[in-house]
Amino acid sequence: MSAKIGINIGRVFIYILLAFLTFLCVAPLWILVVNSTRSTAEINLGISLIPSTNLAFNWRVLDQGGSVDLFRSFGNSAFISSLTTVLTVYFGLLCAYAIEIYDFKLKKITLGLVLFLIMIPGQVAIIGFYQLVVSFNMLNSYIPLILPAIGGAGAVFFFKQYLESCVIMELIHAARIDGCSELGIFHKIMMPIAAPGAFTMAIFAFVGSWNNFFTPFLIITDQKKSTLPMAIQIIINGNTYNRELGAFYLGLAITIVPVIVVYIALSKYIISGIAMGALKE
Amino acid sequence: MKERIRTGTKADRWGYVFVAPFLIAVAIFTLYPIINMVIMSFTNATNRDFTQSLRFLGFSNYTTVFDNDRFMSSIGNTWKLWIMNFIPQLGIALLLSVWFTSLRLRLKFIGIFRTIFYLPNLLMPATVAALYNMLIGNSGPLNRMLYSLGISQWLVKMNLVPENYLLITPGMDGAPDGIAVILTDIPSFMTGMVAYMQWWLWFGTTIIIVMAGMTSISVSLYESAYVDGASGGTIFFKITLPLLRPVMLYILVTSLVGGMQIMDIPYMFNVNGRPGGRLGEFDTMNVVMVHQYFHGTRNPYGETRNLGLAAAAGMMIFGVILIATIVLLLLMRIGKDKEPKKEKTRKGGVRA
Repeated sequence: MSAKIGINIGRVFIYILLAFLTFLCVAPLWILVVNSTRSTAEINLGISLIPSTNLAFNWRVLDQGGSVDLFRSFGNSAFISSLTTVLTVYFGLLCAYAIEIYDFKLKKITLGLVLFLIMIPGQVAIIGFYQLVVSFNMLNSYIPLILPAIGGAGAVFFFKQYLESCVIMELIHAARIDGCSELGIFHKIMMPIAAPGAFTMAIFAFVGSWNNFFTPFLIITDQKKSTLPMAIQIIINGNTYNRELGAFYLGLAITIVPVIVVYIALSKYIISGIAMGALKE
Repeated sequence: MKERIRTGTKADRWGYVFVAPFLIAVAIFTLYPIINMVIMSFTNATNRDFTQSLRFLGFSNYTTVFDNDRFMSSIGNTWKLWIMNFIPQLGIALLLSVWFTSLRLRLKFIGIFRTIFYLPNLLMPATVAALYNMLIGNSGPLNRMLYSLGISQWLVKMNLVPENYLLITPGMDGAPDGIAVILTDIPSFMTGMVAYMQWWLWFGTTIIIVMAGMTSISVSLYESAYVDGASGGTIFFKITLPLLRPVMLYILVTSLVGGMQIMDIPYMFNVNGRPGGRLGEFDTMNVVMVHQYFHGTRNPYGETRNLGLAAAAGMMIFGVILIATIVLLLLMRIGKDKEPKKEKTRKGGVRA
């Protein structure tokens, strides 16, 4: 009996701690969303947890005023992230598929290279990457932001883990006997089977590219081509929105609300994907 | 490993074709830049000319970076920020994972809590930095909360905050608002905030990974420990922790490699436009490399852009991470009694 009471007290204590952590995660975001619907005067009056009615006005301020075209940046980021996602998933899956089903000399080297690339701090070599971009005359081009996705070692590793459990050799043999080409087997048989894993990887690839600040920040100098994180950085440093706090909050909300909406819809895939990449049992 | 059916050499040739795009992309976009950085770090490369009149300088770039106080203090800052966010991260992850997987506690809504805790990780670091900038401002929510809870008044009464960090009636538009602490001017507070933001971004991920590691431990081990009358603490230290070693190693290495490269948040979490903080209190290695050497001429401090120096700084960051990782792996090996299992790694990406 007393043990049961002890467990219950423990439970209450744990739930309080969990509620506190939930508060830390949610409160800043809630304040952000609410403030994007309030006027500057209202925001200066204090914190509120109830949305106000100033959203349309803030939207207009954001749309017309300011040195940064946030909506254009939004479009730029969406374009870059979409292409990056397609390349990451397609070529990651293709490479992992080759490692999984074929026997060839480069197989072990490729796998070793993948593991090596995951461990090294690649971001540090950005200066060498910048020189490459300059020598190809590709500053202010999106190509150096998109094409490196083909060499995404993380995606290859992820798909390697994933395919181990879902490649069916008999199916591939049957297709071969029916005269299907190797690329055809990959497209018509492997890709549909691996679709759930590809979907999970697609989410990670998209979010990673969407949030990336470091690379575009060094390569893109033309403000018309700036990505969303770059636009936010300009807003932080500029004083355009200092007087219009509501518009400032709305600008921030635009960058995260789509992500939150997608997350609520797809959280199952995302959570299982994190663990899938980390463990191999 | 499952048995492979021999596919015959003809089909196997397609392996080369399928891995070729990946290998070519890696060679161009990852390996070449690394080699390039090594070469550039020994030259006087600037932005305008990479090839013409490129002079070999020996180790002079390295000694310049070594003599740069800003870079040297950024090494300490980077470590401080990483340790400050990693220890609470791992501690909370272990604690929550034990509770979440406990058969005795049988907690509810675990899935929902995990989902909420992971959410910050998906948000744009630029936005996170801007948002927290607003939250800790003079008339921001944090200051208002401190005031309405009476903490600001108490700080003044006890003389805990120097006068130049205080603002009386900061409310704008005539709103009377008592006392505000100018938090953004207090270096230790700002450093703490950067560490906190990193923790906020990453603790959910760590929980999910540690928990997945714990659930993969066989239940029968726990059951036999219960039968033998082992206490909760004994089970944790004798069964859970040792079996969690591969997962812990994985978290440590990825977190360390990511944490040493931390750049986005410290670069943007500033009020007066100086990346790394007003006094450079949260200058990290990457921030100095990009801000001082790479952006040289563009930054308002008049330093010249020098890619040779930036490359040398990059090499030194590389070195710091390499040494730290090797030391870490050696330490983990020393503490290990049995044969080392195959190392586990996860999807790439920078984490801290």
